[in-house]
Amino acid sequence: MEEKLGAFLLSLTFLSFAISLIPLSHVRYGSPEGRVIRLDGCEEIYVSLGFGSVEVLRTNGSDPYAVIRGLQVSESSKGKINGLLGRLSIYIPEGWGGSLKISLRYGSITLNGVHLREILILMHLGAVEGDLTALGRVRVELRAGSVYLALSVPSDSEPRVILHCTRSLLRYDGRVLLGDYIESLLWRGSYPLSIEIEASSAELSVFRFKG
Amino acid sequence: MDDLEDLLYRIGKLLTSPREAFYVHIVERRSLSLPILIYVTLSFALTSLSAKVSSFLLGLPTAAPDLLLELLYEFSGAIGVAFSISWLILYVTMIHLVARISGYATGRWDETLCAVAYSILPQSLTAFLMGLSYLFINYELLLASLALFSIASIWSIYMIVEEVSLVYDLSIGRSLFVSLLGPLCILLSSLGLLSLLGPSGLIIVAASLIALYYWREIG
Repeated sequence: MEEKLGAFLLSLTFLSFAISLIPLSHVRYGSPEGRVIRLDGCEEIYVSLGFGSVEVLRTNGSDPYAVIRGLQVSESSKGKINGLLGRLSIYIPEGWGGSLKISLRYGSITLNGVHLREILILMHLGAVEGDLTALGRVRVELRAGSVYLALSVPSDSEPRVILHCTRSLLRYDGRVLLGDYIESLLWRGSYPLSIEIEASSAELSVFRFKG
Repeated sequence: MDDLEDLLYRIGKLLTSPREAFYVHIVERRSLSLPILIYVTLSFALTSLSAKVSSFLLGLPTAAPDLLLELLYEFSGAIGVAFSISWLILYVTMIHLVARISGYATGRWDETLCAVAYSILPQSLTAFLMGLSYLFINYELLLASLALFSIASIWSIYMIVEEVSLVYDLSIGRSLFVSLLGPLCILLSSLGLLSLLGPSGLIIVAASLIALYYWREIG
């Protein structure tokens, strides 16, 4: 009995070692494409995930959609995606006027150059990074974690930035502000644009563009 | 063939009755090579697979450039082994120091090293399930391996307590103190002093432990 158990344990040990030597690039060939969720006509997208990663990307299509890979990830109603763990990619068309709310307990969120009127991110622990074009309101709230964002905002807007972090850094118009709490009206404009970040550390770069 | 059967028997026996199997290991003065080989192999598999699975299934983290991150994932096994070996040496030294300071003169450092190295054995099933989840890109297997990790960790602690009690000739209660509570107190006080005094806090803890150790040895 013990010999069989010993042989079983040793074979498991060396098999796991052999599997761990397979490079990531090789396994990627067999990766599942994921399930596509159409979000046609949605003005509000709400994502709630326990553990994993969310990526927000641009698409040339006319309507937003999401690709999900994971466990117990489903679309509960129009525009609402709930899940336990997994990877989620949300594709946002250019000029989409809707709002995006992401609630992720543990993980990371990447924003890849999307245009959004409103984005709200709530997290327990993790990281938020990337670049986006903000047109109305950006709010990122992390209990613990870091935020690295490059924001493009219309030059005719009036952006008010609040960074409430242990270490905050704000770059705009060649200026750099440092501190644990930064509240600043970057420039005057015709309509308000609110940017609020609460995290352990945040690095925010704001760029103007003529919109 | 007999040697192989004996080896397999000892490994199997370590899981079902660790005290008995480890007694044979001590009496027959077996070498360190088998426990170290098992420890290194499983440490490599566990760290490499957990890094790759988290990257592949969950897409974490994304804060560094892709090529650098990919290299980090590919070498995560080697990095994990380096950390695991350092932890093994530190943990075994703490157990040995606590045992000596508590007045237990029997037992050798290398025997404790074997005991702790063998205790990783229950994690072989965890590593295998994690490997399968990586190979077949399966989230259910990942969850199962995480659940199994906690059960296997409890079994590992049981193995350490049993084997340490044999090495230093202790009761189970005292072995629990020597192998778990004592090292935990050292770690917590080191962290406390480190946050209060900086690196000199660590030097104070190390110097006190060495002084106590030699005071007991000479005494």
